Amino acid sequence: MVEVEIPLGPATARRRQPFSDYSKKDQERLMKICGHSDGKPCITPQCVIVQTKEVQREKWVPVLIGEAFPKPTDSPSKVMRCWLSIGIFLYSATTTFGWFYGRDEPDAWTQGGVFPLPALIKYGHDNITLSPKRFLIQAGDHEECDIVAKSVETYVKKWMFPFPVEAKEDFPEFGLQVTIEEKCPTGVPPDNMIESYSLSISKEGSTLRAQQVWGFLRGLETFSQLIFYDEESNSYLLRTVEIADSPRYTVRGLMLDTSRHFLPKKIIFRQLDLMAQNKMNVFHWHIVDSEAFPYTSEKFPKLHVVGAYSRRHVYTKQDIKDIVDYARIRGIRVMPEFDTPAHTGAWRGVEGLVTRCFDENQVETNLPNLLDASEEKTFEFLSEFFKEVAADFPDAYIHLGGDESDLFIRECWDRNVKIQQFMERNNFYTTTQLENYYFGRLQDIVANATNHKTQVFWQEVYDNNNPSTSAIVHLWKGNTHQNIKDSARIITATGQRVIVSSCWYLNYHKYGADWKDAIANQIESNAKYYYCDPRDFEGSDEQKSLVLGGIVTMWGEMVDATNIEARTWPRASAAAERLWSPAESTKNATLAWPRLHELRSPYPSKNAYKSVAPAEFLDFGWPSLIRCDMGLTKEWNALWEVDDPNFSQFDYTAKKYYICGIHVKRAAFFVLLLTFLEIILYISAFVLGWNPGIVRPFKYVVLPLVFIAALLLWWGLRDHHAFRLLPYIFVTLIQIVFHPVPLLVHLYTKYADKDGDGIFTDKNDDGREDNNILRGMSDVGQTLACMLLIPVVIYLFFIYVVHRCRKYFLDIDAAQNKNLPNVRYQK
Amino acid sequence: MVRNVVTDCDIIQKALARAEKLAFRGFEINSTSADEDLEELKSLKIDILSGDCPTGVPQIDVDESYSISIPIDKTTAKIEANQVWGILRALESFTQLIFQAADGSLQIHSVDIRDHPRFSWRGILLDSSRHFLPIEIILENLDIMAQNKMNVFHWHLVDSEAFPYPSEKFPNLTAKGAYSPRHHYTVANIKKVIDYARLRGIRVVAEFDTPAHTGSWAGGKPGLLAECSDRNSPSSLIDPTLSQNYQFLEEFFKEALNLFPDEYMHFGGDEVAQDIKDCWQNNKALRKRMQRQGFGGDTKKLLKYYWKRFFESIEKARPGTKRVVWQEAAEAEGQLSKDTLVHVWDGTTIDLAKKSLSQLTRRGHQVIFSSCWYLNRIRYGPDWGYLNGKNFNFRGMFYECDPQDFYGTQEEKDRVLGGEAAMWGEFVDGTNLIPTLWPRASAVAERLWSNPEDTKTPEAAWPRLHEHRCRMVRRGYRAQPINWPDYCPPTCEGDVCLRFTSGAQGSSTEDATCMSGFKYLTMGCEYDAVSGATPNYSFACNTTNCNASPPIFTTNSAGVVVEAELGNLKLPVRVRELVKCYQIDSQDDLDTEEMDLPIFERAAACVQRYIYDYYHGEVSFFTPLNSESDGDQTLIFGQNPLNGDWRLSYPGLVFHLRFSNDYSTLSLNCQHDPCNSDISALLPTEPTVTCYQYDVPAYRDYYYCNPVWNFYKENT
Repeated sequence: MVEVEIPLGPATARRRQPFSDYSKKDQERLMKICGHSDGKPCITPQCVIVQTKEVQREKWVPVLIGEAFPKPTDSPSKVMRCWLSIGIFLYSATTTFGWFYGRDEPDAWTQGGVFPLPALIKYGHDNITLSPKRFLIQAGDHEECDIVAKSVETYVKKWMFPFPVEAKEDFPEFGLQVTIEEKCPTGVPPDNMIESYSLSISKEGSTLRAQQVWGFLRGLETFSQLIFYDEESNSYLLRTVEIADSPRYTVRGLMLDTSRHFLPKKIIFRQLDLMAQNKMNVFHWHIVDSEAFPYTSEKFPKLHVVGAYSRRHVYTKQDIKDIVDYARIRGIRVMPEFDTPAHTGAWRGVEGLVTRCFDENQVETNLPNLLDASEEKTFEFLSEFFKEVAADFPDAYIHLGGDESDLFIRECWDRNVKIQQFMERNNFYTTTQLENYYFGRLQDIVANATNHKTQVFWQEVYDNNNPSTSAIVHLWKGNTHQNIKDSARIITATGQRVIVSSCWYLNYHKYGADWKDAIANQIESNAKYYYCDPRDFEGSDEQKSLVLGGIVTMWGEMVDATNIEARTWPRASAAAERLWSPAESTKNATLAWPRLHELRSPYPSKNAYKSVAPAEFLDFGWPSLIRCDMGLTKEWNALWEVDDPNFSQFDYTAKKYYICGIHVKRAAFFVLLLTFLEIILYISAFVLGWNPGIVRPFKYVVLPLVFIAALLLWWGLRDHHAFRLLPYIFVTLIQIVFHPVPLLVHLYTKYADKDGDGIFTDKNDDGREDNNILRGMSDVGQTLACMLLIPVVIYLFFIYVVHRCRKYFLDIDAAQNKNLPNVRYQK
Repeated sequence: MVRNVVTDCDIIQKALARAEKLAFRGFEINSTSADEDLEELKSLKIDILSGDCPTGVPQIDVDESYSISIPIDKTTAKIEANQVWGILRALESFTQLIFQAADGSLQIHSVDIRDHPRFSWRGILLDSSRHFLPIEIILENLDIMAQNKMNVFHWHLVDSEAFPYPSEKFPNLTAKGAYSPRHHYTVANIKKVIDYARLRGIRVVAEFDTPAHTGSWAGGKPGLLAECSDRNSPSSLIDPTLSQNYQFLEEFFKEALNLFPDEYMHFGGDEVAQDIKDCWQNNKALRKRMQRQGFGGDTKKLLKYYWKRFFESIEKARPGTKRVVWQEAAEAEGQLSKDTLVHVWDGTTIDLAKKSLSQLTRRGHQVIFSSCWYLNRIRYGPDWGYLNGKNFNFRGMFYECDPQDFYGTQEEKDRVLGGEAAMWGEFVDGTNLIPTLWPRASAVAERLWSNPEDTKTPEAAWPRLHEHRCRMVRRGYRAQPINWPDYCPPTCEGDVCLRFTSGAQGSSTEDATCMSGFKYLTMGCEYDAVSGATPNYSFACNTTNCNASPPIFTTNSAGVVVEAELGNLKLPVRVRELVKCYQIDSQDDLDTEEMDLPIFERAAACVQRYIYDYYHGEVSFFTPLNSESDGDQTLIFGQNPLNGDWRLSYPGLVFHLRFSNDYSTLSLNCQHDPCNSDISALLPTEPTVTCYQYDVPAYRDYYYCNPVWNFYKENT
């Protein structure tokens, strides 16, 4: 095995571990994780693959990068689990405190936070000042690739630097070196596009590496999100960072419905832009439905002439081409949907295609909505029609709908004499058989007409009609997340691939923060978008990998150009993160909010940063504790070892999340001192016997001191709204309430110095005074053991935390002098 | 030409200009002539019976009745009203009568209208505390309110979350209470809003909610709020036991009442119960003071005392101020005097709300009603029409709900002055306020304006509301679809009328046809439509069909009636579009002049500043002119309202600004200014040169410039 060069920065390089150093078992596991066996490189959360020095561009070797990638076999010890549970308990206790009405604070946002969260991200010490005019993206040969050229232009001119800043002479030049391994693709993004990338930004040099141009696009978006505007210096700053990123799901989509309300092309363009900014990659175009037929067919022009709302409410061939191309440049696939046999009311332009339908009195209804499956003509039409569709939409998938036909089967097939006769002729006893016949024919026809594109069907087709195993099942039903996951599990168990939309029906809008919260009177799956993970079921990895991803739906009944954007975004971003980021690091929507807030409006009032407090106490890191939940011992340790005030993938830079230095420092020491004192007192009392001389100071001195400590903390924290450190208060309260008071009450009532002679004594039966302390010893011991357990554990935790963070406590003055970027200090 | 009350009245002048704009904006006017049998409407007579132009803001007792007569066989239409305010409503109705016929021509219904409002208080509540609302959005909302004949803007300026109101006496309130230095209004902003509203016949009733909902006052006025125990969130209740607090309130409200000229001010008073428990009852120091001052432990007494002292202060601050309070403040019998207007908002069911109405009116209070019109409580589906069950936790039933439908005598029912649609700010800001509010609030507007006998069912109202919604969209406002799948008659493109339509890069036929509107325009500039003053600058037209004749305005000898002939196009209704021009000091701060600009021009001015700031000193065409006469260069900016073309004039030059289809680029072409031959002579002779091309930021610029900029792009 040749030596391995790590493409990431020096901090991680130190901790690298060459492949050969791993045990056989680990090596095998790595190969499996990294998909190395077929010789193709990949980047996953668990590994990055880097080049060997000797065989450049040919051979790839997987390497774990350092501590950030602990071996999965490391599970937390029992003790550590105990710490973690305490930490998480305390953390959750703090989150109940908040701003007015317990809501999130209005100025919680990040600077240079990335959304969706990359698989791996580690921020460096510094920020780099960028000048829009001295900023270059060097992509070598790839600069000729239209995807690269156009996206670079869009990002540099529009998104990275949204407004001009004063040109300064001393801005250094900054170049981002782009390496893309594969050639510029000629067509639209394929269904197996590789979107992983790694990004390294440091003062020494910055590189963006990707295997395919699609990964480059995602990396470029990440890069643009790392830029933030700094008002004080009136310049753009760029976070230094090491990122290795890849998506968790391959299908991350948005469905727009252009039938219920027409959406102008420009609105669709804007949604594609927004999708790209959320790293979404499939535009599911529900182009026609019962209400209108805006798709323009050349072979069957009457379809849109009759079916569209008006001559203006159509997409011309050119429009479709433009949209497919616009999406291509952004790495987005365009999957069209032509929903049959139901939802076809608007197809009435072709005569005989839609059946006649009858109400219960056999009176013909004026809204037929189901295709005629009894006519050979229908299938001839479909064959021709899908040939044209296939030419317009080059994507590998085609969505064939198939939903909600049961709503119309009674009216249009059951009560239709012609259909009934056809069924009799063919020995179909139920309409389901007729439907199966329809779908069987449809699948063959479409396979031939579209050169075997992958077919996607809505859930019902799987439930009733069993599509071929190569087809994809698109889930849209289910009232709870469990429901949805069960469906995914059951369907994938049969080997069928699945796309999920059930959790993300964003068209159902409602009052409240539905992207994260449950909403009263709503079924679960109509809210909590951030928390729906369709792969979260018991099953093999292979089975889980059959869940390809999810598509956010924005059905068009109540939206058009006037409100679709405000209603879709940023609620869809919640799903975007769920589908892109590792589940372990995105468990908590409250933690995601500051990043999402920045994504929504990256340039909020800049003056708000004027009074921010130091960042290090931020990394004192209650938010980071949640990462312990990942079960990573080393991760946990690494957390305390960094000397980087910006370390934390949950980078809160909002002022109110900062914890001001001085008060907290003093108060924390004070609490620590008292904690020791108290324990020593207890131990002394225990050892020396219950001497009033010991107990009295405890009662009269220590308790007030503890109170003062609590007040100090409270005072110090209140000034700076640092609710994050409220565990201190919490602990102090536990200490005060649960620990000494009951104990003292217990001791005093049982062993009070009743005769006032200064000795804890009691009269024995024989009337002699007897020192009672030894007799009560076991009793007291039990009490102490019980009552001390919780506080002692918490004290130890305290000590541990303060010990690990001693740097921040001790070096605060030094840190202030360093004047780190991103960090401002409250004097 | 005779100067007279009507032609001199700024309200009328501006309303006319607005009506011209709104009546035709977005229509694709093609050259198809109308049915030969139709008579052309050539002029519009305006008659104000009272004959005076009000100088101040409208108050509650204004007369908004009007009549319109458009006879089928005459070429003159007539509008009559007792007061100017009625003319405003009439002009709105008049423009709504114009429609595009199937043959593409614009036609107007022949009609006789006698109209007056059912209620005098027809309002919208906007909350600028929970989310800051850019001033442009507030102005835009005033525009839409006027188009729905609503007449009260209830400005819930401050609340616990933020304090965007600018107090000059207590600047710390704003400095510490606003979200950020960019998230507050200036006094000029507020004056602008008041004036903008006045021109549309809308009253601005400000609300400063006390004693609760005051969390954001704490930073700027330490000691004002009572400490609260057992609370996770900061205090938001005033301490009523300290007399210095009343002094402060008196001074504070003196300033506020001076700024807001409406007779009424809203003093809040809602949702005090929980706060009283946390912050008065559980506050030991405060309880001691209560004991000393003789309230014992009775917080009810203390609250009553607060209101007494508070209103004494208000009376001192501006004698005769009429008060509005939320219903809780009036619920304790005898707490407030009978002349207090009570705002009913509570009630989880319609029956409870009715009970409140009948209780309060029986006690003699006048009331306004909001319980069914919490428009911020969104839910899926058409919620504007019917009530979903009797429980309106999710509110709804905007159209059905009748504020006089409660048990009471006629006299008691007459105490209902009207109602307000409330748009609380927890989940709305500039990005979504307008579509969330409109056209749902139009349902409320009809309930409050129209005769209930004629407006019984939402079904009957829908076709009109549908047209009205599409009309608002055509005029460029983001009114959302509210009644299941539908579409609007095609205007410029699809469902959205593009304000920034550009033919430059557009390849589609839609763009091309839209551009054809251009040839009907006379590009007059700085042209005073009424006085006929000579334009300072005039833009060259770049099409041959340009018609350069100005409109003709005549008045009769009595000085009461104005007859305006609005152009001579071959259209049933003749109006010519004026290009508004504004002088802007190009050097520094644009704020003062900018605030006089309507919303679009404001957005454009922003672009202008943008370009100017950024390229100042770098773009050659600015340099020679600046060096010649440093300091008094002016830029003149205008928009062709029909096709959205922007123009910018600089002495000697005229710039044409044009946005690409996706608004990613803005191109500037410049021509010589034919009005300014002195400088033209000095310059090269090419007719058109491309001066510069600059990329306009997209999507991510919400907070820079101003948010409005983005919102229009969103739609287009």
